[in-house]
Amino acid sequence: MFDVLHKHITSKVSLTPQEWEFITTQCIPKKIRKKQYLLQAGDKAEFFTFVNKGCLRSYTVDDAGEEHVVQFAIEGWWIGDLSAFLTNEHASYNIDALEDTEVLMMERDAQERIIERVPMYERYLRLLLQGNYVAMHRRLVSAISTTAEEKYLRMQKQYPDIMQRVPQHMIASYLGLKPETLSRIRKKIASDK
Amino acid sequence: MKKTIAVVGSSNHSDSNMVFRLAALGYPILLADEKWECIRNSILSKHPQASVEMLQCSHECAWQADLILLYLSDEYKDLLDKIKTVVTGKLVINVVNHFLENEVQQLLPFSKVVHANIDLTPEVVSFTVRGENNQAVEQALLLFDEIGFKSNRSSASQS
Repeated sequence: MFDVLHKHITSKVSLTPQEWEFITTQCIPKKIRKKQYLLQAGDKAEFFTFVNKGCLRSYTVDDAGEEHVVQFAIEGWWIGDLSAFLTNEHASYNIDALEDTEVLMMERDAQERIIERVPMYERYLRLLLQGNYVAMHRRLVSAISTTAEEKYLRMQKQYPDIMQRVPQHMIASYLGLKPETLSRIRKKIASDK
Repeated sequence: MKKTIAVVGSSNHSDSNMVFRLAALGYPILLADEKWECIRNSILSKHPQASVEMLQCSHECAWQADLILLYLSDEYKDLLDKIKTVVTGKLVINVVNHFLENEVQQLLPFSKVVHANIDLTPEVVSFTVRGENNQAVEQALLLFDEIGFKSNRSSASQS
């Protein structure tokens, strides 16, 4: 149940067996079925969640009822409404499962307890947040300065696993494109080969 | 979003009141023991929109749930051993068997165990709640308030 998380943490920092044992006592295991919510907009964002198995997406819904995908998360990824989690506010994102999924959820207090007992965990979190910042920044630059085709090709290169597992209309939403635009781009790429 | 509730252990009709009320309020309920089957049918006949589902085992129920209601019988050690790994950090309310207070927390050391001693008189349901984790006791009290159980907080045993 904890192998994927152990691999993820120890790929970034070293832990003693006792420290790892303590971390496992602070994780809340949960199974989520396909299409089931992990979080709904308006809920308190109490957890930051690690994906053990399966696939989740976070998204917002605009006034017209259209969904806008913010993030996908597969095995070995963290997901949550990070700003709401860090500021103890209500979530503005929905998170649901695109496949039957197994997660480990961590409460804010649990994170603090781990930081107190496991000094290297703070470094792990810092590395996570750095990675998150870099990814967000790249996405912002890509959104304002690249063509639709470039966005699609970059995503295909960066996240080939996600491209295989997620429906095309959600990929279009993630890239900020209309599904028909994405379809046209895919046809063009296929014919160029 | 309503929390998913696993009901783990055996039942008789007299102690199903809480499950009935939670289902009526829209809490998704997962049941593991076949002895709950007729209560499930009874809930669904009165509240067809309720989400009440039978799963194959207690482990699976507890894994999918956010909160666990324990209805312990004589085989409680086996049962708690089965769910132990998937209830870490979760609120576990020991509903029926308050004689096992110390043992349940020992057997589920990383769960937030709360013991609810419920007085099931026909008109008014009252209860006392006890537990080591104040936050968990407060969560349980809120849940009982929501389903209309009479909470006398001043006399509730909390530590």
